[in-house]
Amino acid sequence: MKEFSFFSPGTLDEALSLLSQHKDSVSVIAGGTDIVLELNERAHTAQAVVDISKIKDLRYVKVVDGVVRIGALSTFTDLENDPYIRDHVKSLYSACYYVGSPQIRNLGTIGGNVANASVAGDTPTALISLDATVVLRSAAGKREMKITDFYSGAGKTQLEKDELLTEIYFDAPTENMATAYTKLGKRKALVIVVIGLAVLLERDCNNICSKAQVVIGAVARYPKRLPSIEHYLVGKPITKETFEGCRDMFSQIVYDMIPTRASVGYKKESVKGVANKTFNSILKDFSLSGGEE
Amino acid sequence: MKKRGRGVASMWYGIGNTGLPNPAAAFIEVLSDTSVNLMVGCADIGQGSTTAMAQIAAEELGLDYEDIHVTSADTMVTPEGGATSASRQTLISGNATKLAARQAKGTLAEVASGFLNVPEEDLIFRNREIYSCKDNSVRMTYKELMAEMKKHGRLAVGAGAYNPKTTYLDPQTMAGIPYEVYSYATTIAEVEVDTETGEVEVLKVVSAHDVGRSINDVMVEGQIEGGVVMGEGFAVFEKVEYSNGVIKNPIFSKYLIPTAMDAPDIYSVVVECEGECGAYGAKGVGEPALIPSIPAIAAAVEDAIGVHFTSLPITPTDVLRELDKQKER
Repeated sequence: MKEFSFFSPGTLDEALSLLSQHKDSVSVIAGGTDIVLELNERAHTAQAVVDISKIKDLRYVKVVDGVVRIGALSTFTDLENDPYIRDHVKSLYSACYYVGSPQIRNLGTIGGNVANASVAGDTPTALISLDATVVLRSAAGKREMKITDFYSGAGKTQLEKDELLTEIYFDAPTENMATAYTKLGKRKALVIVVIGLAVLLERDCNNICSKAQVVIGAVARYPKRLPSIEHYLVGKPITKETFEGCRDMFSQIVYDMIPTRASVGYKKESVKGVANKTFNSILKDFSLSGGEE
Repeated sequence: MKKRGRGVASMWYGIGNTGLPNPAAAFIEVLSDTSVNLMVGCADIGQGSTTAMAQIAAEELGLDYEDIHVTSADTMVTPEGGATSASRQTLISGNATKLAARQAKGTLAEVASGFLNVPEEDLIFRNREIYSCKDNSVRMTYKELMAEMKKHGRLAVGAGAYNPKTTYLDPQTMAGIPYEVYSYATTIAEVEVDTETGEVEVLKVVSAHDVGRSINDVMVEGQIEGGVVMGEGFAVFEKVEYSNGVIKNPIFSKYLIPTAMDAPDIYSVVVECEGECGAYGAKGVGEPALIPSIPAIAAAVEDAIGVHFTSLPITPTDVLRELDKQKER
């Protein structure tokens, strides 16, 4: 482990001022489930480490005027145990539930999961399907952007060294919406995602799909919206048959994303099963036949 | 689609190598406060042998488990115990412990016989008391016995060593009698295979093991449960990936073993029978617990999807590849 200065600010203002002072070489630690590994493996070279875990104001889940606001320091366990998230934002609930193990979920934060931008992050996939917005603060001010834009940088996020991701928010799913997230891994816990699929669907009063947001994770470098699937779904009745009609599209999409990767053979087949599980969960949420029993 | 299947596997497994000498020893002393020092070379690597040795000593001496203080695998004081391997310690160190306890008991019986005026062979040592099998009102407590020992300047010490009868094997053909005793087991596994993702979920395992005499039921069940989960790892998870002789995944984040979430419902069945040569008839269950779980799971996968796999582990990638081939046929 290389030497570094360690700071543990108690307030957001203090943290932002530390980040601007040390912005040439600084890392932020929250739950530490990613960064401590990097420190131990000597991969980490920042001269200053700012521990934000004592900033209690950044740990909350609230619904205000139809918008769900999540403080960046909320842990996966916080979200998993939040009754609103569990009952109304199933995709995010599942994404949190399937992270690592209880110990990791007790420490790991949603802000860290988003900001760390691991190819295998679970919550970013769900958050993109919810069309979430991230709030970034620095001593100089505040900016907001869609999480899809946040990930649009070449290999990195849009987060500047003096900025802190403080909040993630998205429109609360309405009564006419259902969400789901499926994680395919090599075992049931403590496992890195092989494919993550998050879906948000909206239906009108005739059970016709009026909005679809479909995101695949762990295939490309960042989770990706799938416009062709979304386009296919909108305007069609929400039925098992409709969903079955796009299974082969998923397969082709995965193949096109990673045609030369050794895992492509498995991923392009198994994605069909992942899509099935995800759509079954949607059907069940809409209380339609064909959903999981 | 999810398809279920069941598989059965049976085995017999040799306990106590006889092809080469295979000894272990124990030292014991019953102290004046009726506590016991037991020293065994037998290394407890988590399977519970130290508990088993204490139980065997307590049984032989007529004392309680709590009276026995075991020092194990400390080369400063403990005698040779041999390796904790080959499912041998309960059989071999168990017998050595019993023989050591019996030697100490010989001295105790001489003194008790004089005090109670009962022939040694009629004495029963049980529940911290010594009494006559002919008239159990003729009795003394262990405390009284140890006071009597002190009066006579006698010490209750014992040493025991056990080595299965070494038969040796034919140097050319390796024919002969390679083990002193055999354990038997049958395991039934039920799995569910997801034909879309290739995932194999081991749902339920029933594993029945003839252990001769179970020294400690809960520990035997624990051994069986551990063996089943280890077998599940072998059957569906644990894959050593290598290229040019270098292992590519020498780390537990990439070499996956089952987590508690992956473990099936396990029903351990402990079968007891005449165990012949072991202490109180105990054989061994360490390796037997693992072995039949593996073919049982592989057979259950075959039952579910009709594919006979000839290598392990059976990964989701393997399942989808074979199902694809099946479709082409």
